[in-house]
Order: sequence, then C-alpha cells, then structure tokens
Amino acid sequence: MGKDILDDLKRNPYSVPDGYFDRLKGRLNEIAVSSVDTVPRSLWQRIRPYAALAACFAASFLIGNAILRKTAPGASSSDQFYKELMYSDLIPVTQPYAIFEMEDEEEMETSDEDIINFLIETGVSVELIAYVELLED
Amino acid sequence: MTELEIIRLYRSGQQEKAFNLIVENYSERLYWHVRRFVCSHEDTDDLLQEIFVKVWKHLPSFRGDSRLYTWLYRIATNETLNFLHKEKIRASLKFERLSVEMEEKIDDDPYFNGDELQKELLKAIQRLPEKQRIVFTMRYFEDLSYEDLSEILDTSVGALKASYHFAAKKIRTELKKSSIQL
Repeated sequence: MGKDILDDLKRNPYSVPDGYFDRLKGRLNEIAVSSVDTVPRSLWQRIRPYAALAACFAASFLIGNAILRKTAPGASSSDQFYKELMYSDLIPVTQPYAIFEMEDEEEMETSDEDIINFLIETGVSVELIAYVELLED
Repeated sequence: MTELEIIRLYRSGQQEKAFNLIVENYSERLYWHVRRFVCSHEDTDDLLQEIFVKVWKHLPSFRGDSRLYTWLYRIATNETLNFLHKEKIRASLKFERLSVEMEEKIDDDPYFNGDELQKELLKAIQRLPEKQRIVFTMRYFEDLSYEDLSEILDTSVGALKASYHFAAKKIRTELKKSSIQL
C-alpha cells in the first residue's frame, strides 16, 4: 500500500510577525479592563437610538400625511377649489367632454329665456318669436 | 490552571483574572484555528479581537454544560463562518467567487512559509464544499476528535466522518494531479 500524500503536509505553513502573540495577548486582556471601566449605561441611553429612529419615522409619516391632505383634490372641502380644478388645464384636451360630465345636471338644463335670448342674438325678430310662443300656448 | 479552576475563579468574582487566563491559554490556538479558515493574518487578527469580545460578553452565561475549550471553539468557529459568509456575499456582488479570492490570498500571503504542495493543499481545501472544508480543516490540522467536533459543530459523529472521508478523497485526487505537474 502506497504512502498517503496527506501524511507529510500537516505541518503549519503559516507564520506571524515577530512578537505578535505577546502583543495580541496584551491587546485581548484590555477587553476586560476597558469593559470594567465603562460606566453602565442607563435605560434611556440604551433605547435612545431606537427612540430617535421611531421619531424620524413618525415625523416622516406626519409630514407626508399633511402634504397629501393639502394636495389631494378629493380631500378639499372648498367648492371654489373644486371648480378651479374642474376648469384647469389638468383636464386633457383630448377629452373635452370630461368638463361637462363634471357639471351639475341643473346647470345643463336650457330655460325658455335662454332660447329667446339666443334667437334674438342670432337675428330672429321679436315679433316672430312672440308669434311662435302664441302658437305653442 | 485547568478549565474548572478558571471557571471557579470567574465565579468567585475574579472575572478579569479568569479572562486573562483564558487569553493566555487559548488565544494562540484560536488564532491558528481562525487563520486556517480565513488565510490572512490581518483578517485573523481582527476576528480574534471580536471573538474575545464575545467571550468576555457571554462568559456570565457560560453554564458549564460543555467544556470551556469546546465553548470557545464554538464561538470562534461561528464568528469565522459569519465572516466568511459576509466575504462570500461581498465577492458575489463583484461577480467573483470566494474560493478564487481565497486562493489569491494564499498566493499573496507574506507570512506563508510552506512549499508548493502545501500551497496546493490549502487551495484544494478552499474548493471543497463548506461543510467538508470545516470538518477537514479542524480534523486534519488541529487533530480534533470527532466527539469534540460533534460538540463544536452540533453535528453527529457519523455525518462528520462521512464529510471528512469525502473531503480527504477529493483532496488526495487534487494533490496527486498537482504533484504530477510540480
């Protein structure tokens, strides 16, 4: 049976700088010294970073919420604001009927007076209009 | 001073003295343990600092269910594997493989005093799957018993023996190829 190739390779191939382990031990011993000297932190000191993070989240939420309330159209109770928006350029010109869809039905109704005014403006004589009104009555 | 005496010293209120004894007795062994995994003196130095900070922090919760020696090895192994996982992620973000980076570290290590075949051995270990790499390194270089390994790695002795067997077989094959080329 041949010799195992792994038998001769066990020796440590690495080295360290001169005096390294003495310095390392000194440095590691400092861990205990420094932690003993450390003043115990209070509960508030320990939770302060988490509280600050929570406050940041809360502030972001409140500011975002306030901006949305001010800018969202559905959220405004002002009629003036609604009308301004209705006739604003925000409505695409490719859909002009969208403007009329938003008007009240009452406003869309045409009264007799509107028809008479229209006829007068287009040059129809008052006599003719009166005659037609008599016929309808 | 024995493990038991160190623990007694710690529990008697002489924590700092007990910790100094742990540093004195185990820091060098743990250094070599970590060094064989991370292949760099600087990384080992940084990791050892973190390991002993953890040891100091968790010593009050050491109940003595396991031996101090295996408890220390478990902390050191966990910290080392966490470090290697982070390195693996860092390497993958650069579209590189950790094993390739580790092989480069072995090539560039100014504190490597071995011969070419030893270098090939270390590189072949880097190419092993993680579990096999851990078991092989701890068993081959540190002569840890399977029972100790079982306690440190929380794995059955049977699984450890199988991992070592497959790892050693792969390493022998690779080294034979390398020795022919050398």
